[in-house]
Amino acid sequence: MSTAVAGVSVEPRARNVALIDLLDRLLQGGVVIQGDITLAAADVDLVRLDLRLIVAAIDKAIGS
Amino acid sequence: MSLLLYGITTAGEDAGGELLGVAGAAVSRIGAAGLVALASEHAVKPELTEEALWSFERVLESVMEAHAVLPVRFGALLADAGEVARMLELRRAEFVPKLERVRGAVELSVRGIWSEAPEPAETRHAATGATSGTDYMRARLAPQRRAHELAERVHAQLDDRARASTHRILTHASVPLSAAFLVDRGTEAEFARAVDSLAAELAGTELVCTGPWPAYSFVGGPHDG
Repeated sequence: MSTAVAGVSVEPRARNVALIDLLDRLLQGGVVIQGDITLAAADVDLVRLDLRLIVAAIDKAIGS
Repeated sequence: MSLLLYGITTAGEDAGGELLGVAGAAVSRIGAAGLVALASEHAVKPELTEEALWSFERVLESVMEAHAVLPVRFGALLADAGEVARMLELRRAEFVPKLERVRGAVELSVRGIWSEAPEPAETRHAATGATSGTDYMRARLAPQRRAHELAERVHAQLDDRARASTHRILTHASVPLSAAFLVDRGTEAEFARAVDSLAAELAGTELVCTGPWPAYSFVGGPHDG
């Protein structure tokens, strides 16, 4: 379901957005349960770094 | 060994058959206090990878097709089934109303993406012509204001179709709006069409609708939707 996006850029853009949606939801949404072990902050930072790369890719697609 | 939690559902809703979760681990159902937690056993802490996140998501998507489920934030590991049962007993009063809230509903995401670079700062302009001046100012509004305007517009158009909604502004420079809507299952296509028609009215902003997602944005604190 992507809207108002024309041409070949539709699919990669929608995929990237879906990935941002996934990361946002799984890592910042949901019920918070204080486990014995939760993911180390470093792990989450690593994913945030990936996220920045995805967003940069979107920016690039927009610019081109 | 420890248990990675995926979600919480109601007892008696034995969703799906065998489910495979993160790293191919079988997902088991741990019941207590009239609730069921979905969990998989792991000898080592599961790695946080894109594949792991999608595996986690797929488990919840299979369950939510037929059942109300509260998605758990990725990464919660409990020691054993006893600990999971204690958690369910302890938080039952919180989970039961939340399950009712999301029952029969799915979450849809609506992202606003600027298709042109936003102005870095608000540019003052002495408007002389009435209509063209307005247009000019509109185009020059600071990103914050433009993003808030977009949010208002999106909510005004779509809130009637949703049980609840929530949004965040400018999580990334080119993403002015990240909104989530809790909609009745079965109305997703209709909702997406409404997003389409709204998108057609917007200049310089694309709207991308994804989902259906488990209700990640509507099961947390009171700030949710």
